[in-house]
Amino acid sequence: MPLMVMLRDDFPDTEHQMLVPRGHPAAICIDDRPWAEASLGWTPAELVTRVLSWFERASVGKLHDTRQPLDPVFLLSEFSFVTERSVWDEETTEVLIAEQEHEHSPILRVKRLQDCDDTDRPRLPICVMTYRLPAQGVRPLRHMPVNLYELSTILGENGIVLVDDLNRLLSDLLTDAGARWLLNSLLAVMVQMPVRASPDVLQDGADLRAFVSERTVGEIGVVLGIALKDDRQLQDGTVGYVKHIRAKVADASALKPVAIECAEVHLEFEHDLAARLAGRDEPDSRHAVLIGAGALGSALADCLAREGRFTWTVIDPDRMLPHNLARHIGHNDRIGYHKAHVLADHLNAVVAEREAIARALPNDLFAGGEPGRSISSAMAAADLIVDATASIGAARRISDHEGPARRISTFFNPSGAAAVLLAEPADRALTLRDLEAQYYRLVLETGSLKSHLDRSVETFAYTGGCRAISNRFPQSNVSVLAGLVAMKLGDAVDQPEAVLAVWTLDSNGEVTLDTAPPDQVTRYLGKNDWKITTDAGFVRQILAMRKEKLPVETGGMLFGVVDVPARSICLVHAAAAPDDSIESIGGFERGVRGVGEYIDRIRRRTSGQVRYVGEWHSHPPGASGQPSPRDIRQIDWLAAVMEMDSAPALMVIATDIGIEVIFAEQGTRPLALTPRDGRVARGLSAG
Amino acid sequence: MTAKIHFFPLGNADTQRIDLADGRKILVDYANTRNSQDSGDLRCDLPKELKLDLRKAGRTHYDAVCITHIDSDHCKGFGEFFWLEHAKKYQSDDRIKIDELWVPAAAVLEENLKGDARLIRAEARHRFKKGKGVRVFSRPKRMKKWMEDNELDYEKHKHLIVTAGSLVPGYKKEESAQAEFFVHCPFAWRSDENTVIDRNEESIVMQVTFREGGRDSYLLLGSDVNHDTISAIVSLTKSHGNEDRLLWDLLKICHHCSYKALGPERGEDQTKATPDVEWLFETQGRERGVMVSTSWKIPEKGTEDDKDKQPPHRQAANYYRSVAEALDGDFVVTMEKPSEAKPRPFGFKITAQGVAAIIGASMVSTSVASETPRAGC
Repeated sequence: MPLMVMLRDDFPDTEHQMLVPRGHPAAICIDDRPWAEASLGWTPAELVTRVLSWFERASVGKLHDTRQPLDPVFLLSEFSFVTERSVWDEETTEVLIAEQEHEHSPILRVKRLQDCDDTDRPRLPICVMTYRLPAQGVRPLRHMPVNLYELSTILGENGIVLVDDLNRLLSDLLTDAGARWLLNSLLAVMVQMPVRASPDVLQDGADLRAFVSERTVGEIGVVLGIALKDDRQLQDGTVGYVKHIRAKVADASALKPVAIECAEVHLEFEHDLAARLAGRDEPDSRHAVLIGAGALGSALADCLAREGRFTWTVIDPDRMLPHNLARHIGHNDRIGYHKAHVLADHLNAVVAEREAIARALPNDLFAGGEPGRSISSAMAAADLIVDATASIGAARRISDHEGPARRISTFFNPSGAAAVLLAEPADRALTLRDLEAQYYRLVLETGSLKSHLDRSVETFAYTGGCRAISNRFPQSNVSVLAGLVAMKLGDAVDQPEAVLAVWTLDSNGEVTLDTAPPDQVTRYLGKNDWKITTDAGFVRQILAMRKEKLPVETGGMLFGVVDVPARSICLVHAAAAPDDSIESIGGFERGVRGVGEYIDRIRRRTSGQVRYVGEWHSHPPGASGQPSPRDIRQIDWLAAVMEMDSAPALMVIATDIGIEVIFAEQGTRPLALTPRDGRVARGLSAG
Repeated sequence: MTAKIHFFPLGNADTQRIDLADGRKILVDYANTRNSQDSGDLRCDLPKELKLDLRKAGRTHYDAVCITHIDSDHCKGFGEFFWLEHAKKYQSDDRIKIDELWVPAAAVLEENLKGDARLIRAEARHRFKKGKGVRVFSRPKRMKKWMEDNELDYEKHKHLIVTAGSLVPGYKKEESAQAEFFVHCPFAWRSDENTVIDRNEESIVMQVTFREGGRDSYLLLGSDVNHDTISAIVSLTKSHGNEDRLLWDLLKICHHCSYKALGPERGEDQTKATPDVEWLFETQGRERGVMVSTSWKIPEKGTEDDKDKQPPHRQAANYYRSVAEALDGDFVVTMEKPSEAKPRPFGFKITAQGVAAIIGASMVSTSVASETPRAGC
């Protein structure tokens, strides 16, 4: 890359100059591209244009547009350093060292000396000192220091006496037999300086630089008159040093002969950096319990962790099998391990927090005893619980678990061509059960989701799981869909509203998003702990059909999600009157034409989840929702029919002001239910 | 749509509904035997069942109603259920229309009738005179005489007569109906020799051939004929080389499981079938063939019912059971299915693999689809 040097001695200090040693002419930065790229279109005319553009922008103070990076460093060391953020955050008194990650690697990781295993001495250790200059009132670095003296001068302007600190360090090393070997290492002084770059650059307003000495710490001690070289060589052939008994510490100018090189410093991939790289200001340190570490769970956690989201408890009792590799972040060498461990280890290997960000709990959600209790307490302590089990039963159990954590459920459809995300609102006014019901309504009412739950897809002979586990579909689907789910999940947990979204990927690679703002629910309590739930969308549907037919009465079948063990019915869908129904003023007789087929169609389209649960009809304007004697006879009949499904019968009556829900079990008196507060409502006498 | 055949628990009485592949509906006999005043009567509410089915199909008529003979157990309630062309009195909106009425010649010719039998005769005669909407099965010579007596032009009306050994016009298994009706009885020759009409032996016997997916399946409808008539049908059919016309996959047992349809002697535990009857059942019955007895439940040995002269006869049932075993088939009784305590209508569908029982998929959906719940304030 051509270097543009300003030969004027008094060239002003501006932004976008290269950091050069004192006395070196100023160099302006006119092109930040790598030469391999810049050379493709490089012409003398462009060079001139770029120079002119630099001056033009400098004259109006616009040099610092956000697209421009930190000042490129001139005369770089071959080394670069990787540090934890905490190294800069605290006033550390610990001795830090940098070691090579691999032999011949110029990238060194900064560690606390106490974290090093004494028997396994670090490769190419460099002794590290860190300084953090205050953000305010410090002038950006004007010139690149070329020796320790110049550096100490710059630090001195900020109240730091480098010589004192070196004296202290050397004293420690000379008297500590366990650390004495460090006297043979080079010295790196790392400085966090105020930004010259714009605020949205990666390092959070910190300009991190390291200056690496060309001499060892021991030699610096000699230069400063603190140490004396010990003529006896150490066992490993290196030079030994002893403390100078009558030490008289030299002043900083003694450091002039100690040349330094500037080196790059990178932050470890911690939560904070992960969040920033993902485009967010703050890491998300909420604790998420992920239940299900399969294809979707692992891909999702991988995305979110890399985006600086969450600390994780991963729950899954399954072990890795070879076929899992088709769609999992796990590797072949982890076959036979619990998926929970495979994923937790993976997340910890990606995000370099001092405290591991993920832990594994390889237990079954439905387990009793201690394994069950450990899951329960993990869920109780969570901020978020993410269900990726691909099991309806598990999702409902998660929904029912006591505790304040917001719940999210995500799964693929049976063909693997679509992914679903259900996220509760922050206040849990809607639960996963409610959202599951509304998801089925979306599937029923959206033409493009007609075959969303079709089970015709060829299933690999391994499982009959409910929400596609081992069906045959490619990892590319998982990548695309898990990415979309992760994106929306991240958005969802940053705001309080509920989310219901279905992404469908077609064979051309086009993705369709079907989504509906989830509706508020009303809960009723029937006899024997039966819980009945309706939602605003369902009520709207019924009231619209009533209005359309006024003044005559109308009605039809009711469909819902029935969970017999949990004694729960979520009403999902109200059908219009069959065309042979008799609709009149003062009465409604529901027809039979197409009824069996309709019931079958609803079942098929929802993979058997939505069933017939009762009947609805409308009352005329001005009439109450109180069931008439004829209505009571109908519900008696219904109760007898529903007894076959071990479920109560429901009747919904639509009026001017809303709906009335009537509940009946065979042999008992029907009840008109009162919403919400759980009071068992008034009994009705048979007409 | 595949063809379906339904049977109804009506005691010793017949009604079969045939739904053809092209949507046409044919009713063979109509006997509403249930006593609506008796809540313990286990027989089904036939008009309700039939109307519900028509309602589901969006229809108010049958394409054909065949009354195999005019005994009460084959036509009870005819005058209450159907829309009759011959008198205004029978033309209210809730009645079911008949496009084509199929009757044996005896139903037109017989005198001194009462009740439903008389109404069927009146309706058949009315339609015959009009020259449409009726098929009279066999006895062309006697019919010819009746026409002369009534000053009807034989040539203009003879197309309304279907003789034994021929197919009922309008139904071809190669066409959309995917079915044809071959008439075995009543015979043309025999009737002329008798002056006294024997209804049972002059009732309509037909073989229906259904074609589905290139495979033919057979239904044999035997009405109430006895073993003599069956023997006559067998020998006549053999003499014409028409043995295939007596093949069956599904067979409505003749005369409510009476031993008389098998042989002259009731037998101690099992009726012995005459050779022709035996051939019909044991040779012409196809693998997995199903026999349906449209009757009360089969009596236990030694009970009062077992001593009764009236069918069903235990000994006959035992014969049919032995046939069912040999064919790896089934013998079912309308009043015993699915249980004696709660008999319900049942059906079979014609598939490319043969005749298959229709199995209710979901109890709730079946119930919901078969009721018209009423609401209102």
